[in-house]
Amino acid sequence: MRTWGSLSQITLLFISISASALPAHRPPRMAASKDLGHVDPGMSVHVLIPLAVHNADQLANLITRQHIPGDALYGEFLTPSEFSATFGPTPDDAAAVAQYLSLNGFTNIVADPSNAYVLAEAEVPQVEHALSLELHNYQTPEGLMAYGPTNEPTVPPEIASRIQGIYGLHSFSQHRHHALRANAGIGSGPQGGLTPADFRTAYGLDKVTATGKGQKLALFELDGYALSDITAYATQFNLRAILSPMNILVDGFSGKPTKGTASGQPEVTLDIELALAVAPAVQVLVYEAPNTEAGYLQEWMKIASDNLAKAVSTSWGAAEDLNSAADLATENMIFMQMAAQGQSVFAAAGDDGAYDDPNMMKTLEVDDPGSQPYVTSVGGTTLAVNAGLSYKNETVWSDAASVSGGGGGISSVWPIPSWQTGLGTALNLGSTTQRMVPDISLNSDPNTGYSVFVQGASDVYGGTSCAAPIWTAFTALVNQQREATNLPDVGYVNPTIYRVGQSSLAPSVFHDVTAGKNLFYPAETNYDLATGLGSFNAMTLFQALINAVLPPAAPTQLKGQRVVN
Amino acid sequence: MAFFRLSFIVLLCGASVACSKSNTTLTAPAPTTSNTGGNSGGTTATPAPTTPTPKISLTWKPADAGQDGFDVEGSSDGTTFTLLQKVADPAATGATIADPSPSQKYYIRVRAYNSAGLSAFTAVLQLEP
Repeated sequence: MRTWGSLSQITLLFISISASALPAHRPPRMAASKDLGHVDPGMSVHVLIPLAVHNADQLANLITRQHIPGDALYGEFLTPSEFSATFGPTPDDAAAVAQYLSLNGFTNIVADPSNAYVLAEAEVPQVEHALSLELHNYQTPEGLMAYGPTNEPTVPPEIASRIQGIYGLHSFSQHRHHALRANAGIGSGPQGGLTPADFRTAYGLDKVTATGKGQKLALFELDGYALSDITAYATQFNLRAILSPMNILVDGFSGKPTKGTASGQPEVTLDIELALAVAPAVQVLVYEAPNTEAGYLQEWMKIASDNLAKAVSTSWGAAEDLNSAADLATENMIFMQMAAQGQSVFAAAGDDGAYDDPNMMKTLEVDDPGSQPYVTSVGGTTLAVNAGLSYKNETVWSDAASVSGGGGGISSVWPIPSWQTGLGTALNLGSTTQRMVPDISLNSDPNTGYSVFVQGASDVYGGTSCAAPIWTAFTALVNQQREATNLPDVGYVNPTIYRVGQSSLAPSVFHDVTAGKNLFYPAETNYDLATGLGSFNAMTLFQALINAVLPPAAPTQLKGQRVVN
Repeated sequence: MAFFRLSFIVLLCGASVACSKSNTTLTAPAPTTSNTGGNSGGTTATPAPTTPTPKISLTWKPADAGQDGFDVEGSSDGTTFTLLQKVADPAATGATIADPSPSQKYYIRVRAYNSAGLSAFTAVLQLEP
């Protein structure tokens, strides 16, 4: 990290008298919120300023080609240094932004070594002066309290051109985890939870011999866990010789679990345990940051710049409308970097069915980051098993009484990606213009939940939080086998799973869920906005994904005419 | 022979078939002759009128280079499709096929294939009579 301190170090002067407004820093939810007046002027504001990626159009094209079988760039993933050299911000970008902040009274200014972002802090008056805005407290109609800017920030043009946005100017989007505790289940574990052996049998994972050996799997977390829980789980379910998770602490996080009913400790714990249940030999990397705007973004940037893990899972998110467009655009650039580096990112789709914002249960909403186009959104099902725990069927997970269910719906932000073209229909209530989620799904119903060992005791949990790490660990198994045959990692999986999921292999590799609704969107034959392409038949999907030849993608633009000759 | 070919084209253009540039690609039918006695004298026979062949000319855009070829399927009711032609060219962007029922609506769809499987179909193309 490079730091900027005293004014005497400043060599660059900003003499512009014009200014550029930075758009879209106010979350949509602010519009209906009541302005409660100025925040405490003594409040310290921590900002994270992501610097602008260069050649973004070329980056999108590169990612597309990296994931087309047969293309000269197929599987030619970048290293972080290659990414920085071609697309990354420059040291001059970082220096200019740091010096502007220093001139305006910010302190503790730190630039990321790869120039991805600049961190700084200041009290409210300095922030307001530097960015030409005021910070006020707000209350949403549902009672949510948060602070945010009265108007869009403004900076000199020579700064505006170097940055993607400014993180830390509002507190509307505190991220929630998607784990739900249950009291009963259908498995053979304590309280009926599904043990590793149970759900490995049900989904055919028991037929996959890969163990994740040699692979690293990253878990995005905003809380801590107790290693003793992980050890107890491994002992209880006979997961032999697992590697201890490696903790990577970000933005000053201590690693100690928070206390209380809102603690994310169960989330972190079950993520680790379920990943190890699928890939017992994988090295789990637990990235942990404080649950703040800056902590959230900094952690994603760390996972990208480290590029240690090719399979990444998050079970933390927030409804799209609680994020500003600038927040979402910044995240998108990070996920594009990860895609270009061949990192697969899976995100829980949320546990509130089609209504992801818990404060607005009558408004259709989807969860970020699952709705990001370079992320794979994992929805929720209710699993039924036969005697012996073999697979029977699945329906959409939903519970109207508790207003819970697998997340899914239509993004209000992201346009439809090419791999979803034609999948939105009148039957599934989908879109022809916008990104749809989830992409895939897995058992998430707390009533058919998973055995875990949390906070010193056996327990049962459900939620799409369980589905995301299982899919991620499965991807680590696929990567292990592909590397063994000198194939590139599967990488950003959406183009691939939609290619496979619409091919003649689909009926054998996916369990197409066709019954139920996620409180709004119905399950239908083929793709739907309740369960995506469906859950996996692990062995057959594994075989399809380790094959050097993937099924072809459908041709388009069929035209024709009758002729006589 | 060149003279004969030209004559044929002129005759065809004079018939009910619309005359177009594509006619130049037609190959002439074998000359018919009433001479069955082994006379190899140089009389030029007039070809019998031919029945125009109804066809369907198709174009499509391959998604990428991941296929070995394409299947063209047709249907007279838009529901039950049968394979009309395999196009074993991974770079093909179209095909011309016989029109099975020129006087009726007809439906066409295309998909790609390779050793791993079959792609989804294109959107169905509807052809009017």
